[in-house]
Amino acid sequence: MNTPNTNKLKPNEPKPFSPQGMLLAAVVLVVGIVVGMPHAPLEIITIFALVLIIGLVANVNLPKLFLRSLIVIPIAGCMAAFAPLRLVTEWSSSGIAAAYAQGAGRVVELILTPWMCVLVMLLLVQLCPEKDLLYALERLHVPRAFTLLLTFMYRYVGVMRTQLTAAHRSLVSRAPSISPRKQVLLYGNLAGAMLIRAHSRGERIHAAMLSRGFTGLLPRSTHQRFGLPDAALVAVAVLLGIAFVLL
Amino acid sequence: MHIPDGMLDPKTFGTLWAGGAGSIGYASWWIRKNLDGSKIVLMAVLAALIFGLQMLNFPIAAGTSGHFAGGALAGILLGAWPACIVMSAVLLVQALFFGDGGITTLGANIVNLGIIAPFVGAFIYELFQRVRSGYASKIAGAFTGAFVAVVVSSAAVALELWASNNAQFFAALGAMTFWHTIIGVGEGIITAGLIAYVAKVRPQLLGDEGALHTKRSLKSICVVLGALALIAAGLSFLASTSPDGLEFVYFDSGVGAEFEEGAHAAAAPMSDYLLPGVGSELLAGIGAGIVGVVLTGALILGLVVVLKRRAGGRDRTGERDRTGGRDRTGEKTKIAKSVEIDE
Repeated sequence: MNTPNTNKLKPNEPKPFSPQGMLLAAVVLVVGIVVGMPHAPLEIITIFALVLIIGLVANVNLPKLFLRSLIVIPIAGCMAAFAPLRLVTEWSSSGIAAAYAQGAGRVVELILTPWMCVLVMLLLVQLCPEKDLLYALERLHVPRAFTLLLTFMYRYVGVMRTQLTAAHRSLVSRAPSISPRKQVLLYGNLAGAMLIRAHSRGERIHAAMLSRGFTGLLPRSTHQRFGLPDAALVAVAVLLGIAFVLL
Repeated sequence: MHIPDGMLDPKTFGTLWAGGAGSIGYASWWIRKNLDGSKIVLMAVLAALIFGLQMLNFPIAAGTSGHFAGGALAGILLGAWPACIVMSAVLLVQALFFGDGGITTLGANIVNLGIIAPFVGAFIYELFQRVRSGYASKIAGAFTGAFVAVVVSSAAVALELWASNNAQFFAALGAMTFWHTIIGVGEGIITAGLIAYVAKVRPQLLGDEGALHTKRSLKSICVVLGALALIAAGLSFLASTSPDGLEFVYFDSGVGAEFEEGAHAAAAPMSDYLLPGVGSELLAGIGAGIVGVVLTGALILGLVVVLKRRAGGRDRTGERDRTGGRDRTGEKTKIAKSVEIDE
């Protein structure tokens, strides 16, 4: 007797917003956050509350989202550290210290802003799968050569990363106490081997695609069009952005 | 080196977005015109590889590590325009899906890592091949190209942070180039190692008959680098009116006042970087920047022509050629002909 297949793919459920609507809204919001610098505490609370509420409603793994967003803080922190130096009027240790005391708020601002932007973009990725975002880029008239490249990249990034990790692991297990200089040299050879493998793989992939009727264009998916709910979503994002700028 | 959101102000990120988008548009058109489907698939697989290679962290100093960027490598393997598309795709994926690099700063990241790095890397590698072709030259060219590409890109980041009023120029330039000089060595070694491996195992990938290789013209690369320089000159209106660190100390200590009087007496043709005879200070500043770039370019071009003429007039042993660049049969030598074409 056949058991019911619980993993059977469900037909595409209608979603409230199209991917291009969500992408546009997120980009508008990010631009609003950046242009609206410096931020009042109320704005910062609004953005974090917005991410929290949407995340809870959409059942997003919020701790993971916040943890992933922290990636930007060391990078932003390094760059933000230079900001107070513009305020230095006297190039002595006391002058520099005074500039840092005066510009501490700016440093915090330059760390918080990228963090909020990354949170918005990571939330978008959680709400909208990669393939939908690629479709959204195509609908937004990003050049076809570019979207084609992104589509293939999306397909092969995982494969390449797995192979590279395996090669790296075998390198470490076979030569655990290798000097850093030799390690870097070996990385070059390892990357070269991967390149040649990728080259032959690319040729095989293209031959296989041609045999399956590939004409240079990928088939269009049946996604939603940009509709009234999307227009409303983008309008809300625009209004929020304007509010950030004006406040 | 990926600039996150919020680090650049609207005028800077807007300008760089326009530059980045224009370059992607042109590169897409170039690819459609010059490459067939199989090469696009190949580029995509290579883009995935470069994305994977960016996981390669190597130790630098003080317990920190740097990672491979791959701009110069893409430029050397694919040519500058396909590399521009590949690197832009990698940067877009990183910004959109991984929060690595911002959305508003994507244009800046594309200019730094997707245009400057591949163009500089490809240009230097090509120069090495023109001077002397061979295995050693390939490795030296790859190392130097990757190293210089990383350092120049990091200097561009410092310039952009300064233009956005988010950094003191010399402090940012010093810190960025210092760390990226160390990272550049790692990048150079990996790139050279990769090129050495490919040159040994599959040399046709680097040769004129290679599947990836597209005929690169130094002239086109020079045109793009020149255009970038002109844009940079045009952006001179972004420059801060405050004195830089050295000027500040110079005038603060009172030493500068006397010199300033002397300088005014000498009446430089474009003192304070303003084009004379132009009413608007903004336009005068932009004009002076553009005139400066054109003059510097003309100077370099003149120098190259003179050096080429000298090279054309000497044989391999360095002896002065008294035949006017002609060989025994009376035919003009290749170098003499190339000088003639340039003229």
